[in-house]
Amino acid sequence: MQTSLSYILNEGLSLGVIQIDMNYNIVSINSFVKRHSKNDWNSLIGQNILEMFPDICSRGKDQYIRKVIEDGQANILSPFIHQYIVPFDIVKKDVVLPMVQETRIYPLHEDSIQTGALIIIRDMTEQLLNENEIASLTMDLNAIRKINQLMVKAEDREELFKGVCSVLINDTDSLLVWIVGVGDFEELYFPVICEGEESRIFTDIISSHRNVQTKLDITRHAIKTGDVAVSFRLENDPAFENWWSLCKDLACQSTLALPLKCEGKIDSVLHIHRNEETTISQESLELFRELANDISFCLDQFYNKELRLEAESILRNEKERLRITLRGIGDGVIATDRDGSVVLVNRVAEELTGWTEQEAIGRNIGDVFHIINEYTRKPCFSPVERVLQTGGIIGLANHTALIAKDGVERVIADSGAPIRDDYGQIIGVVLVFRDISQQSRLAQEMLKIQRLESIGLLAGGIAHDFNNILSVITGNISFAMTRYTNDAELQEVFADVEAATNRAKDLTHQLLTFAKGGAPIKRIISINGIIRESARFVARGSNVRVIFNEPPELKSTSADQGQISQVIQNLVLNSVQAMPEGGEITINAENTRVEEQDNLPIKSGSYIKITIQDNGMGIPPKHMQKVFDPFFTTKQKGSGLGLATAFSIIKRHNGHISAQSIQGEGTTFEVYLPSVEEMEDDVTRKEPGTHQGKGKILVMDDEKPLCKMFDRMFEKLGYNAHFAKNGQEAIIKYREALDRNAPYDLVILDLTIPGGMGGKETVRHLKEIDPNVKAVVSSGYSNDPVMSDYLDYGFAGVMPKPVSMTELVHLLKSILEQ
Amino acid sequence: MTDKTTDDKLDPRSIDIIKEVINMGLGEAADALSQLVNNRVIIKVPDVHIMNIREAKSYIKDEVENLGIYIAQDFTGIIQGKTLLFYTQECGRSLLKTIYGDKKKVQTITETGMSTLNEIGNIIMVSYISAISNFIDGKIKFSIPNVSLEISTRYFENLLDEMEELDKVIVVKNEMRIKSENIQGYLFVLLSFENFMVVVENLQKRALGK
Repeated sequence: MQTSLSYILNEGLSLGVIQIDMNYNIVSINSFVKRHSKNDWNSLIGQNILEMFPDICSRGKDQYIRKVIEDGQANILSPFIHQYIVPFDIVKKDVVLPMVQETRIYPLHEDSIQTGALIIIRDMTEQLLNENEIASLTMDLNAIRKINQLMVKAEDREELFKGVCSVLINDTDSLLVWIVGVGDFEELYFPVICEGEESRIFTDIISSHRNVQTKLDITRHAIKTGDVAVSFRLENDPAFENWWSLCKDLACQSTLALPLKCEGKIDSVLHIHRNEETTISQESLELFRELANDISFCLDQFYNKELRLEAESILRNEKERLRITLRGIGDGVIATDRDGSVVLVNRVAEELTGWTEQEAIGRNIGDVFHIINEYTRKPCFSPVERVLQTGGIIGLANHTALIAKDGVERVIADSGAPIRDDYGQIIGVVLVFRDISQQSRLAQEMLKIQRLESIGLLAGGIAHDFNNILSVITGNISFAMTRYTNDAELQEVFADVEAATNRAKDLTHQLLTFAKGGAPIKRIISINGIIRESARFVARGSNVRVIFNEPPELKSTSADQGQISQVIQNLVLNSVQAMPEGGEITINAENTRVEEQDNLPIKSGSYIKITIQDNGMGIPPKHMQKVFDPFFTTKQKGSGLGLATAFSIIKRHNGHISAQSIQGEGTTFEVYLPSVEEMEDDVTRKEPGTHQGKGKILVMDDEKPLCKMFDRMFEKLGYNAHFAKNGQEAIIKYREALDRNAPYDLVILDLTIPGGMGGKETVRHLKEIDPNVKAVVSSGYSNDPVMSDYLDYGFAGVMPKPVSMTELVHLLKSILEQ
Repeated sequence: MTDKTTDDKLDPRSIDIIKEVINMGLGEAADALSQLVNNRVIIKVPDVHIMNIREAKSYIKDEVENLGIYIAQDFTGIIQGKTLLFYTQECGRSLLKTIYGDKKKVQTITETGMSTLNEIGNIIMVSYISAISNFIDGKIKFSIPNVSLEISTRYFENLLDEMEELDKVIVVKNEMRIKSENIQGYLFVLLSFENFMVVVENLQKRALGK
């Protein structure tokens, strides 16, 4: 088939071509024009184009054709500005639309003379529609891109929802965007979020109808199908007529309802309203499906994040509670990981190890928990390694000592246990330990005390018998001294024997005091001699010199001579031991007055102040608070009882003891004892035999030699002595004498009668028989409370055994001459 | 304004006349555009340069961005030549935005957009050149313009390469305000030396009576 130019122009172009002459009459048209013209194309030829298409003039578009005809200037008319020049129709599906055109109008010349114009029409309808769709898709794509960026940044679902709505409103053609939440029973809760110019009105509409099943039918449809629901108002969609009846006052023409899922369940529904009056393209719909999937994925992430945060929070709280519990408990706790690195140290463990938790974490357990055998001094096997090896709970061997960071050593009791994970795998070790130094020392001291008590009992028994023997010797010697007064040589021998028995008596007392302590038997004494004697006794044999400074006018004090002696001995012994290389101890005694402002824990008044000062090594400041504590000692073999006993004795004497020390220079002990003005008559200096009385005296004692001695002594003093072996016998004899109207003037009762009634109970019975009975308690156990507080027990006096003639005279005078 | 290829006839007065004539074209263009967009169009007094081909190449290199929209149109008659209207892509979109208003979001320059730019370019270029032709009483005919989106100045340089050394380029740097958009563009009028001299001589004859 041959093709000519005219054929091509006529049939082969997808452009409309209209040729007009200078009078605007149509000269020719091509088949494109014929196809799209409503008119009978044959009738067009020769017709004035402006008359045939009056629409051209009515829309003012004739000017562009005229300009070409009149000025000869070519022209172009774009579709967007003019839509069309010559009104043609196109049929799209079933809809007839005006053809959108790009029109070019060229002047036509023949031999350089313009003969008319050529109008070329290009159908841009499809192009424009495509461009609009592409623009719309591009907008949607850009919006989705922005939303995807939001998903990465959003912290929670609220922020995401707000961002999604905001982007869809600002970056797409959407008029209104809102999200409704879906509950467990598909009930709707609102508002979640609503964006757009009409959001306020819309919020009210939705709020009031959200749970009316028939109203939000498009939302329900999306929930039911789990897929995007689309509806157009113009299509009069019967499926969602309730929905459109709600929206009758709103500008929106199309609605999309996108179900958003979380963990596979419908969580919420995103609604997008647009003004589009035509079908949303399949591509757009797919984009929105993708958007819904992306948001759903993000909701899953938030849900998982919430779960994770919740789990983390529970774990954190649990950890905190555990930490607080561990820090609060009384035992030290250290936890390590599998490698033995410390991961936790509680407060007590911090104190015991000297490592703070901050310092210890990450360190090897061996650095922080350094343990040795208390006696062998060898390092102990790591309990962490043992737990890891055995996989079980272990305990530490006895005598394990923990060496703290500062070198302080503590005896500890400890156990270690594995920490296992959910699968039973060992992930660490926990050590629980406590300081048992005190208990350990206490146990040792208890043993010592028990031993001392045994010794005390033994010593007490010996002392009792020994006292009785001494009493016989003392009594008889003093009796003998009264008989052989003219023989000077014999008197000297007797005096030496008496002095020796006195020393033996003191030794017995000291033995009893050491063994059992006890309440002081106070007597008014001068302590000058006691200080000297006690100090010298302790310092004897050492390389320490004792210097005494004591005024002759030193007042007396009411004290137990034996106990005060023990105090001096203990203090001097402490000083001697503080100077292993030798040195000087200076002992001062002075009268002093304590006033309230002196801030001493004793009453204001007159005191004797005894100062014992050494130039030894001194006591470290950290130990100063503890020097008077029982069992506190820094000496390898010290009992820790010496200074404690001294403190206790001075306190019982209503006095005060304190220590000051400068390390490297020495220690000073100060002792305050209440002073008294009057010195009690020193019975030991009284001449014997100056008393001559008469009367009956009942002596209760189980020792026959003693009874014989008393008999001789009382006879010498003019008294008639009767004897009873025990309390029962004494009571009978006293009652008989009373019945005969010949009562006893004095009753001397031994405090302890083995296997019989002793003095304490006997005097109670005697008081019942005769409230005026004069009874004296006698015992070798001068530390017994009955001996110190004899008045409370109904006695009129006390007679420590052994007793000399002089002491007996003094006793008789003090009681019978009253 | 400089012209290194000094011609005796191209004195400052002649150049002022050319600028004045172009300003008249500016008024025409503003009127035509106002009608088209149905809105007020303000075009600032342009910055006019007349330069030879070498200078023009250098000017383009310094002033004109690579990515841009060129609208080219040939004209014939008493003088022959080519006019080129250049906008950056951004300005091109702004220009379309003023036409479309809120009806359509301009994200890319589509075929419809290019057709619209063709029509606008036709109006602007015809206005300017018609002002010249009217002043010198010479008929000038225009072809329908053609829009091209270019990503390099090569397009323009190629056009200049086809010209002779003494040929001239009139550069009109203009800025117009439509609605709230400021649109800056360049109009290049490419003339052979002979055609340029025809313009100059006719202008001098008309204005100065030389």
